[in-house]
Amino acid sequence: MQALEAILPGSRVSSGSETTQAAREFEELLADGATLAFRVAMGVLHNRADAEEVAQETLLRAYRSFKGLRERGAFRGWLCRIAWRLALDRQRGTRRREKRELAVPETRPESSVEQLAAAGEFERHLSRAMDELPEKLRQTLVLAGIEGYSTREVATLLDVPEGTVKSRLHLARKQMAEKLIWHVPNTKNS
Amino acid sequence: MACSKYEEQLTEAALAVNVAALLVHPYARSAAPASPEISNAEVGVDGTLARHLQDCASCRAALDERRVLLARIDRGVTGMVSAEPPTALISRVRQEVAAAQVSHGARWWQWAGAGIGLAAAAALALFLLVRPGVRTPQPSKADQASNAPSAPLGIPRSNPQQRTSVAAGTAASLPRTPLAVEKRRGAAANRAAFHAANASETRLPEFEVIVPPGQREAIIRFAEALRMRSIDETQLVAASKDDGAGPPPLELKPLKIQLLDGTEEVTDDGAKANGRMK
Repeated sequence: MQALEAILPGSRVSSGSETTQAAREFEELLADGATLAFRVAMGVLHNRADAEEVAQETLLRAYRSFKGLRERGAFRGWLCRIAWRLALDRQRGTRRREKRELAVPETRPESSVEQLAAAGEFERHLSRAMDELPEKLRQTLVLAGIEGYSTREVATLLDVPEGTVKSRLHLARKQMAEKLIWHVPNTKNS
Repeated sequence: MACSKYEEQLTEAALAVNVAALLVHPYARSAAPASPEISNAEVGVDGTLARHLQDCASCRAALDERRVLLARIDRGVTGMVSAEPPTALISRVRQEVAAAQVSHGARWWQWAGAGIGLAAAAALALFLLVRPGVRTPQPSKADQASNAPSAPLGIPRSNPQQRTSVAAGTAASLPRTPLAVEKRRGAAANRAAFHAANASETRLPEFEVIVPPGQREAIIRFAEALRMRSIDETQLVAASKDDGAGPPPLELKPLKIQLLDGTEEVTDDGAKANGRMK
């Protein structure tokens, strides 16, 4: 809030209205929300520049609708959903563009995991495998992968039981392993 | 290469506990037992697979490879979503939020300003429509004093009839002026009523007439005669109306059409005439 007041001395922000209260609360949540929105967007888009834009848009949308959010404790989950939707929208647009511009080769590389990792190939295939997951599994995997989030916190964010999170997490990792098993040397692709 | 019979079990076993991943990603902690001593049952390896693993080195290697792969996957996912946002992001969002607040605050004033402007424009338009019109511009005294042949010529006007008279006499030679336009707009009857209503006026605003070189003296004399009422302007109006100065009526002569060879012309009485030329 101090930051907003510094920008807007004497403006409505510093008047004692309901807007002021909402702006103050939003400011308190801004730093944590920015990190969360950015990481969620990164989990979908795998690109810093795109994730940054999506995070910014997410926070602005959240600010516009913040007064309508009755339960402030649900802010993080609500922000996650906004960021997720916006990131998916951005990804769909990017994919359409990429499909027009170039076809990504589906050929299987013959190099080892270490070589692939060195070349960044493994990360690319990892991103693709994530993108191919069903949305619920993908969402769970991304949120659980955010450092510091336990399965309970993920369950709170997604508003599902903790057992559901564990189940989805197991399925997601299994599918990822099956998609990337061919990166393991001397292993026949299943 | 692992034995095909145990392929799926190996993956499940690798998923059940990922020792390497325990150290790097948080969600594996909740999926794995807390005890550091992990038994085969706890890691999801049943007795059959455990016995097989004791005898089969390739399946042990395959299990290890799957665990390594899962560790890489977990590290990759965690690394992907644990990136710190740029510091500029928060400041940009603050600026955008501040801008949104300013625009929200200014919105009321913008709408109010637009409304006031529209109301003022509407009032002005209404006033211009309904006000009693003064239709001729008033020239300055300096313009009247000018003697240049092509300069505006100041003609004193004693009454509104003068406008009609001057315009009637010089319409062909003078360029279009408010005077001439006024003449075209009004009918003679309307003018008479207007003049009667304004007969009490002793002094009306003067106007300008632009005349070609050489006609200035004539116009001055004509205007002076009108002012002294030595010319009956109503006669001038009547004369201009009745002298038939308008264009002659258009006469249309019947066209003679040449018939083509071999065609028949049907006359008014129904008879057919065969001819080359009528």
